[in-house]
Amino acid sequence: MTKPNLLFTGCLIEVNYPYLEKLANDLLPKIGLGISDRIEFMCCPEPISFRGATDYSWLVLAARNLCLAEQKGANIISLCNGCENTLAQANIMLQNDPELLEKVNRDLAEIGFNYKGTVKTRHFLQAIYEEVGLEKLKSFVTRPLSFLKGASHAGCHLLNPADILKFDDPLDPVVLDELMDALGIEVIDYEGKTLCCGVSLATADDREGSINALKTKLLATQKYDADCLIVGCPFCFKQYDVGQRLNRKRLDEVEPTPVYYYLQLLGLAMGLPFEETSISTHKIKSQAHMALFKGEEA
Amino acid sequence: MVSIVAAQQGREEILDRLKRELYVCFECGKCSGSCVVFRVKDDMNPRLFVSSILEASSIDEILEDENVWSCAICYDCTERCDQGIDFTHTLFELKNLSTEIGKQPQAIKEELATLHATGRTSPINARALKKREALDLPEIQVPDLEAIQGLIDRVTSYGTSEKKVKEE
Amino acid sequence: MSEEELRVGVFVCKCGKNIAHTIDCDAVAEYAKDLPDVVFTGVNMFSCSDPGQQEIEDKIQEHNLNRVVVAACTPRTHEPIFRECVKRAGVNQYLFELANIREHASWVHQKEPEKATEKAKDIVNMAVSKARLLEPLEDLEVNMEPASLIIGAGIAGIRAALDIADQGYQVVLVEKKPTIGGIMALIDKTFPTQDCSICILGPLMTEVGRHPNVKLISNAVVERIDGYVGNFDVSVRKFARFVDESLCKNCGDCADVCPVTVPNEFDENISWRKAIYIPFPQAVPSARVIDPDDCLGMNPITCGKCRDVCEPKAINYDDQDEVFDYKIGTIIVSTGFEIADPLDNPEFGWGRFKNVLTSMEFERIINAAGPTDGHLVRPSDHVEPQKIAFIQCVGSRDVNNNPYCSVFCCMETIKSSLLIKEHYPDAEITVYYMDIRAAGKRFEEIYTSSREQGVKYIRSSIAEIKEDPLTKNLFLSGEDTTKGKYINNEHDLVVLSMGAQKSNESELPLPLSRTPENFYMEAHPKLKPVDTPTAGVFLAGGAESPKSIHDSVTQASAAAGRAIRLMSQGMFPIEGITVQVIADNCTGCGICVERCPYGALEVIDKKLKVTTALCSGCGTCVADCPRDALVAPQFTDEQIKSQISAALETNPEEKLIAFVCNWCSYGGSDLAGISRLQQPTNPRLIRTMCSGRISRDIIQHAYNNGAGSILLSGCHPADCHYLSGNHWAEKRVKRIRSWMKREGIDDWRFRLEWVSAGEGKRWQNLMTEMSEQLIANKETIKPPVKTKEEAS
Repeated sequence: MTKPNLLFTGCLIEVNYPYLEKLANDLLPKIGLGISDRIEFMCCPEPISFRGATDYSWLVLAARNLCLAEQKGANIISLCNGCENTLAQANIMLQNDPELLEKVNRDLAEIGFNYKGTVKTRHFLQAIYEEVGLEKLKSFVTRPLSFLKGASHAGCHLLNPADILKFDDPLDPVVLDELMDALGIEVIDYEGKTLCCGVSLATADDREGSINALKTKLLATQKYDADCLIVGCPFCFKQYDVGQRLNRKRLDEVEPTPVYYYLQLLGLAMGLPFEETSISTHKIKSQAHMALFKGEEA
Repeated sequence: MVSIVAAQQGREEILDRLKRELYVCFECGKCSGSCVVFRVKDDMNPRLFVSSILEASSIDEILEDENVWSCAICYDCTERCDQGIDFTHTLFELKNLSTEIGKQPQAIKEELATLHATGRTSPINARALKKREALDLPEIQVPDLEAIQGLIDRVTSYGTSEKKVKEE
Repeated sequence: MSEEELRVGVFVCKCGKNIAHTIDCDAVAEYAKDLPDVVFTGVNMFSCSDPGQQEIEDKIQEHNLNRVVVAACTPRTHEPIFRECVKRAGVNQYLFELANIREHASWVHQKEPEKATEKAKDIVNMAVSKARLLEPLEDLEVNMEPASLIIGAGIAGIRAALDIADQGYQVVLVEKKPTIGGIMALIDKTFPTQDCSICILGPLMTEVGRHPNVKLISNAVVERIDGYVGNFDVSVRKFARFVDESLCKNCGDCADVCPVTVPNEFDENISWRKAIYIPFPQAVPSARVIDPDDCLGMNPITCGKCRDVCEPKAINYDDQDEVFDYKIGTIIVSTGFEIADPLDNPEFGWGRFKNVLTSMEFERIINAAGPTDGHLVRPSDHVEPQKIAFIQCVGSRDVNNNPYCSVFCCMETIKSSLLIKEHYPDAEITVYYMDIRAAGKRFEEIYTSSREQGVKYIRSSIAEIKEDPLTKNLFLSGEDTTKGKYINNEHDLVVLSMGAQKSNESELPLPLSRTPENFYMEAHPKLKPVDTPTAGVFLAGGAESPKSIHDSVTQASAAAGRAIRLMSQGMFPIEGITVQVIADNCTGCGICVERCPYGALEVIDKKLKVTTALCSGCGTCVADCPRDALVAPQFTDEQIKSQISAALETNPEEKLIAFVCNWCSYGGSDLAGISRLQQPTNPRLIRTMCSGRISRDIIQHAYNNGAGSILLSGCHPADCHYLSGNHWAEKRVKRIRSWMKREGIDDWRFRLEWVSAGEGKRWQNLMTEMSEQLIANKETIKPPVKTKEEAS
């Protein structure tokens, strides 16, 4: 019997982009990925700053989240690269190292938890790709988005470490491209697919580095005539959307490029009304795209 | 590939061990060439970072370099190093040590405080609650905060709390 | 036991400072004075030097010594020298014992001089104990067949074959592929003098093919090698070629009508060939071959086109494999290396990006006889490239794949850069390198010349290649490490300068050791670089390590010289350590017959017969003889037990008795010594020829004398110098363990480990680990219960 799935929404989506949580709750069951009732996880915790500050606490708190899923007999589907990176790494570390698991469990016992190592964690893109599959996914598409020339950005933390995340080839990622293709999007192959969005640098107070990363990436997509970026991570999303707005002056050689979170496009392709995607709330908007998104709806 | 920092070791022992892990480096530059950060920030050069660790006389000297915190944790350097060095992990250790002496960047300090205070990195605000309500999403329940704070205080090595308990 | 009075002399060698720096040699000599039957002790500066040997000879005569112990270095290199020395002084050479206090003490305990000196005393005590029990032995001479088997006919095999054949000896030259020539036949020019490769190799290929003393067998493998030096029995299987080499005129009519087209592996699969083909125009034998996997004619109803058009009637679909047997005196292994696998470095995108080539693919493209007639074009659009990049160290110096430097690749790239500049002066060439290794005659010169001609050298280990999906140009990202700057350079063609790895040909039927990198192990890295530990077997070319044509040829001539040296004697002396039978004890049960991989033993009419020339002296039969009817001279039960007892005279619970085979594990311990890999002082090593020599009885003796723990160590399973000795050693472990259980001896106190002669580091780790375990658990060791043997 397959285990039920719990959605690991993540702090950023819950607070800044709740519409993505809504989209996940609505859309994933429709394509065959059942989602159980929401439970309250805490921060995954965040794999860059928090793990940087304290490796071991990072592991213990991640284990606590895994315990919550284990108690429900469920697996996890996450909506954020950072959350998936933390949960997958912590999970593999605990599953492969009985001594470490024992140590962590001694600490968890203080708050009444114990992790056995039975949970499976997946990013939603991975769940769609592996469990739904491209063929079945295509069968849900009623409005192919063939007018979009999309550049995929899978994101560093979903690709690496590849032997743990097991999502795609970090040198030549194609999974997100194939998932875009299934929605009818014209996939733009470009040199620079694996470049970082730069959000981790912003987190560590390095604004300059962060802007440079953003610029390098946008120039790379532009060179190949992509008209939008497509992501599966709210942090990358925020960096491309808010980052472009905030640093507009520094990005004058760059055409403003809208960014879409994969579930928004999945919704549109499945016939969801444009309003429900909240694309109109993005900081970087393409009027042309929006017209087409709406137009095809009519 | 990834292991947890051995909190039992003293700083000198850690420096010795880090050097032993890194001495095989032949400065080929594959790490820096792979580094998504170096590409946009030329003072974050993992190759030179390794060589400065090898030359350092103390951990504190290494921690003076603020690029300790400039890693995007993409693991590319680790995956590609021909000498098998896990530099991503080395930086994790250094960041942990940096936090122990309170040298982490301000933004990180704030994030740690937020996480400790709320169990989350993006704190709940009125605007968010309104948005959620409009979308018919359930309210966010604050998880068992006290227990979590107790846990963080007990297991962390950095100074968020006076109650810091040493591991046996 | 001889009746004469025992007079043992002990000579302690300082080896300059190699031993004396750590060990108090005078104290060791002083200690030896009190050992039983020792009538003389002395200290030499260098025992193996002429004056050192002279002193030993003089003292032997002066003191009428009849047993000699030299405490110096490893018997693997120095035993023959001292045996000759004592022989000159009139003492049988087998009445000599070497105590290894250098590799096993001074070099590996440099920080513990006192403990090292104590250990040296133990080692001398062990040697004296054994020496007192030594018996004189005589060497045996066997016939030497004046014929060589050479396996692999690349440049090394060809050179060696010609050298030997020209001296008048017979050569059987076996090549796996349908043509000889190896890698050299496929490349374009050669460094450092830019000669055309096939132009200088072609004549040699023809010569070796026609030489009256050479039997060339291509498309063949060596299936069986039995026997021993001078008298190898060899079987060669020649696979069906389906074309009669003597009839084929190589006209090519057959290929014209052949309907099957497949990638041509001799062109690195960048061109096509037919199912009936010739690898390249200059191939030797100059005859077509049919690939039975591709040919439709194997079913004559389907196709028979080539046979129909062949005028000389050379094609025979019913051709069968043939097996030839030869009597061989010496063997040269020249099986070569393979080019490393570009798929091991996925970041360079070979296979994904059309314009990323390996150096071998480049060689074929730039080769006038290659698929593009020497016209340099990029595969994506057949346009001449303008900006060409070379990436060095692909498949070399990488702990995840091949950790070593492949030696030839830097020069190959420099050569290729000059070649491109010669034909396409405007091409921009950039070489991305970690270190340029141009160590060789005229190498620096062409490196300079390449820079003079504008080839750019950037010190950068390229991190990743990305392809521009539109132009199929390539972006090479990395750090320019001399400038500390990120680079992302665009090129239209990239050549990966591939290193070499061990050929993955099927295992040869020879017990050869390998290095951790899987190349064949030489007998000594400096003094016997082309010999193997197996008498009569030599190495040449890339099978031993990656190397250039120049080095392969040098090594081939050296190997040929070494082989001729043996064959020119007509006879070969066999060490007098072959097995002896005590006929009164033997019941003819035949267990020993099963143990012997050489067929040296047979039971006829319930009586055991030994063919001494076939015996290699491993002692495996002796260890399993239930009636003590067999004796391994120089390694008798009494001698080994006396070494054990001597080692355990003081603090036995702190001692780790390590039984090591002469060829692999002793070599591994020597390598640890040569490499100065520091270890605890607990181990006491006892050398036998093979791990198969150590019986359960010997192990029991060690425990009964209180040994803290015991290691039994031999060659890795497939590498036994005596083919199967280690297998029999392993079989005894179960019985040893069950005996230990009955006696209440903890399991951790015994270990069986395989350590090769190339694994010095592993030996160090093993010694350290076992010693630490011993020290940690010392208190739990119960004192031995005295057996009847000891009590009496």
